[in-house]
Amino acid sequence: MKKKVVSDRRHILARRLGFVEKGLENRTTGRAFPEGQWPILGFKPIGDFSFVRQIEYRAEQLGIEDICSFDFSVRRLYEIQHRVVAARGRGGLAGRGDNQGSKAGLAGRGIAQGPVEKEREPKAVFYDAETTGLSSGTGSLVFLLGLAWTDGEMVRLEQYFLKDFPGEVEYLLSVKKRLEDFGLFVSYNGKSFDSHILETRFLMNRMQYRMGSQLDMLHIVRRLWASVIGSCTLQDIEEKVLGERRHEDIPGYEIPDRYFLFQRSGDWKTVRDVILHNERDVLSLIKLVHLVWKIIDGKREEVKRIAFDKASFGHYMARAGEPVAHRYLLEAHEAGGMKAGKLLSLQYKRMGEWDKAVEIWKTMLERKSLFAAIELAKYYEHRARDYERAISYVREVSRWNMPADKRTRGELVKRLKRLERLKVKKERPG
Amino acid sequence: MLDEVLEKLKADSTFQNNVTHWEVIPPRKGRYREIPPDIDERIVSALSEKGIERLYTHQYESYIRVRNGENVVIVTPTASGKTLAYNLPVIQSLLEDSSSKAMYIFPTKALSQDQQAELNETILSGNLPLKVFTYDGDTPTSIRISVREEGRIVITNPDMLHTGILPNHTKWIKFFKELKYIVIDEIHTYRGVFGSHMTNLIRRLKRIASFYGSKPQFICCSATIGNPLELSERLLEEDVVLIDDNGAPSGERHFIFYNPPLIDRVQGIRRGVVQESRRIAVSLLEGGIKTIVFARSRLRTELIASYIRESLDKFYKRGHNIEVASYRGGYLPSERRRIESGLRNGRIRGVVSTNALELGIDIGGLDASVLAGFPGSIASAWQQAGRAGRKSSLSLSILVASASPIDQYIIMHPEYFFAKSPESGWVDPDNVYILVDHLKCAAFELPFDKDEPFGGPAEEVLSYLEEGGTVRFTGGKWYWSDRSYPAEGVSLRTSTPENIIIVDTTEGRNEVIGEMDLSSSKMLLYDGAVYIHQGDQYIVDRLDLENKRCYVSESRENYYTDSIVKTDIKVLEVDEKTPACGIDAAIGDILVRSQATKYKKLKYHTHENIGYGEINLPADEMHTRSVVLLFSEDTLPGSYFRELEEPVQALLMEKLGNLFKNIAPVFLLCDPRDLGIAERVKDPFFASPSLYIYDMYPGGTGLSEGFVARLAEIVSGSLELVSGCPCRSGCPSCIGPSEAGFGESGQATGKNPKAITIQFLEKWVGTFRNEKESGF
Repeated sequence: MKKKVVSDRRHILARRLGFVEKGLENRTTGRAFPEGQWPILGFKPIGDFSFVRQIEYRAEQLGIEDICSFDFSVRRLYEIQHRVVAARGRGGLAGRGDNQGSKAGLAGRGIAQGPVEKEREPKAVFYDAETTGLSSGTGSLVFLLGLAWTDGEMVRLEQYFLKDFPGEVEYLLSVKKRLEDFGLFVSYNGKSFDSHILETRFLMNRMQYRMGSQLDMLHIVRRLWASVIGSCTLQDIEEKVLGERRHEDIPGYEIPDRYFLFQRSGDWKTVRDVILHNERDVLSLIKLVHLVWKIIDGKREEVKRIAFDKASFGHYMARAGEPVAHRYLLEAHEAGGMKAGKLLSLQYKRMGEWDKAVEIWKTMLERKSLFAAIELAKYYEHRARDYERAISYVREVSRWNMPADKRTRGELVKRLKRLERLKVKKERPG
Repeated sequence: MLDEVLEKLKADSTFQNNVTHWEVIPPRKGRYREIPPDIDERIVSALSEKGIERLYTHQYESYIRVRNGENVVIVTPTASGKTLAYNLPVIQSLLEDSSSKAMYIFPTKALSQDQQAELNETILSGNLPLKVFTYDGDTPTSIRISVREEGRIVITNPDMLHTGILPNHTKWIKFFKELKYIVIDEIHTYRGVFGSHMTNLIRRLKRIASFYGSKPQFICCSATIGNPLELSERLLEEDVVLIDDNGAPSGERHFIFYNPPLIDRVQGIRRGVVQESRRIAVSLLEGGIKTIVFARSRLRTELIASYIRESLDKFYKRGHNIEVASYRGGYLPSERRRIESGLRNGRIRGVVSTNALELGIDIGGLDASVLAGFPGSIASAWQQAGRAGRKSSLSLSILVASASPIDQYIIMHPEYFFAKSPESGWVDPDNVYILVDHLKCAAFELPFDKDEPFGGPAEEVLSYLEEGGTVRFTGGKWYWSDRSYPAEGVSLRTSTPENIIIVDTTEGRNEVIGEMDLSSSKMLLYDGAVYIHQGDQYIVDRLDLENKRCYVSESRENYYTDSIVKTDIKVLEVDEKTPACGIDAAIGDILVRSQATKYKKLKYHTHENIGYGEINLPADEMHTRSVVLLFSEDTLPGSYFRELEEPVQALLMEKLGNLFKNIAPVFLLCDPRDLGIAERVKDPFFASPSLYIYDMYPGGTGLSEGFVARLAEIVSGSLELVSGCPCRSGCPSCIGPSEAGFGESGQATGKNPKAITIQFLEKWVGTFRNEKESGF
């Protein structure tokens, strides 16, 4: 009787899970790793279940001419990102040249934690993790972590590999030991993904580790290229921006399954491509940082052939209060971009360069910009005190016959009433 | 005021002619205890501000028990101060230990919000240093971190716990480390398959808590249910103390059963429940009685509310209006809050609601409730009736019957209603389908130690999962080894939580006025539908399913619309056909398709049909598991079936379906609403009379397999139930009530359906009992 119940359950399970035949074929439960098959690609064991691989590159191999200025550019990029985030918190543009915020930020989380505090500048590390899950949560593990940093004229790369689950504690301990050398962590989408998973792993093993300051290149890259090339995975950027093609690369979504296959078979060849993929990702990240800095730095000769979204990038830089924003916004405005015009005019407005601002609004008005009409009405009401002109701009809007939400309509009507009143008052003698 | 109205009703002979029963439930005195001396001064003064100077006995008992470290389940009627019964011990403990935390779990988001408002009121008025947050799908990302870090009481729902909190428990370290209490309100909703999911969710929750070194204590609350203690012990898998000795006072309650008068004696047609309920509600409201009307659908809710408003407008001159609101799912939270507070402070005198107001949302005291149709279960009916009645004053509930057989049975047999205890709730946490789902989620959350207790055949399931590579056993532990996020693929409820947003676009407006769940929207928000919202009428311009938007604009039609929904079943695949109890039972996958294809335009008030429209929307499809009982000619029961005349065959099939739906839950530990039934005397697929019993959860939860395994018990149990039932020709407890007049005047088939069912079942049971006796 008992047996019957069990087989019933098996039957139900088999149907539910839908992989019974396949699953049984591949059954390799509990099999040990094949003896004598040593890891490939120069991995060295650092524990029973963890391995590390070290490689060196000369800087010029990665297209970096000057390591010092490269290091500087990483810190500058971090500052820019930090100021944009801070500006978002304040709900506006940075602009007014306050750099204090960024310095405080870098000192804040990153340096205060580690021994780096005493040094002058935090050391940057480029990182990329390969995980067993495509989403975060406590069931995703980091099994491969690629790190790279500059050292003299060299770029050093290290990859930490976890062979099986029980080795996670020793794996994390050696990873932590290395990570503590650094105070600035550069990644591509690592701020919201890789670093979270890594921190979760420490907690799951009853340890504490929090990464320091993060420079996540995804944000600025989206500003630069999302509207130009669409999808912005690191592979897309490599191919369409850096102009490099990967041969024999493995698509990201296949990585977890390769690792599980490796765990079952113990065959290092199944993860070879994953390891090379990770190495490549870290190196591409370095090249990407280098390229983005050239665009910001304004060395346009070298980056001329690369198309990017000037309005969006200009906006980003404006929020960071970078002077380079102005040039890109102007170019975008001249090419007909409304958003660029808006941002640019607001910059002029803030700087008190009213003529320039008004000129932009008038150009935008021809393109039926509600924003421009309202700004012009405001300008003529409060600055020029020419109520008649102000009224004419509000009236202009009603002629466009465009749908506006209740609030905007209400505001326009209110403004118009006030202007009429002011006009009468002004005309009344005495 | 109400006593005058009652006198008037008693004297009104036209009204009395339609009353089938008038029950008077005597008043109860309140029983009190002093506020325990150890309670914090700040709580005492906050209570005193609300006018509370002592506790009801059940509140006192719950305080003592909880403080003594026991798990409790509190079962007392609506408005008996249940909320205070659990808030008091929790708040006191949280004040004593400044690091401890509590989690409150409510079945819906609306209830969570209500609870947060109430808690904040107490906490603010007492100036207590406790932060209360709601954490659900609506919680903005920006405040989620502070909820996790600072929340002393976190209010959430099972779905959020399942997909959001548990799989990310490392973000909640601080919270789980100090988790002291878990409050689960409305536990009667966790029965059947939903309850089985809930038990497994609680197993997972306890597992995570123990990983962080805490062992939380449980406080449960339930509305009326047959077996609250049993249900809560099964849900928690721990000992629980039942607190059901209600100390709250209640006034005298009148419960009137009202059957609308016949307007066509020959065909047995009665006046409609909508108009009759309106008439009754209007006369109550005019008499100054605060009244709630419960309607059985969203459409009826809006319709009755509109009619009531119209009648009152005629009666009253301007400036003397009585405000009547409608209330249902799909209103914006702010609108719901406005209605709830309006009811509490008395600005709103009447409300028409779906069962949305049946649960514990605080709307203050009402004097009368009108049930426009029997709500389907005894427990619901009591819950709805209980919405009327304050601590010491008189109250009135009127059940207005519709024409449906079940309503007619209840209204003609009041003794059935008053004698029957409310329905019980069952759960089966070791149902393998459900267990597999939750073991996957649990393995994702934390690796399993070998021999770790979880419940059910956990180890067997894990080793099975390992064969497929979903988990990996190594170093004495089972590790999750799959790239997916399993909680995402496991839904705790039957329907998807996706909503359609309703946007008013009148005159270039672009305002969200409400929302509706996806599958209802296909039945109610098709292009051309009249959508009524708080009495304002709109017409649907376009339903955009892809972007989950419905665009409506104001309209002034003289009709409303009602869709015609067709449901059909398609057999996708038959996995096996096994002989069982003398017949063949097929198990396989089916597709249940419901589709609204047409709608009627119905004139207001007269409800006459003035036209049709087409609906072009994709069908709602559910892929699920079904068992099909085949009464083919070459089997003995099948041949007995064939001996009956055709109309009798159809009748018998329907009665068997009702019977199985009533009795199978007892054997399968599910809820009747988890089972779908369809009968076909001529089945095109199996070419023999077929009875489908299917699982109402997409993908199935093993109920079909379980049904076959226990068919003999179910069939014998059915015979026992129906022959032991004291009714004459069928009632809701057995084969379902018959059409009005059946069995007496000999309409339709001319036979008593109960007798037919008993005869058939006796013969059927005879076939397989004999088999057993002959050594099978």
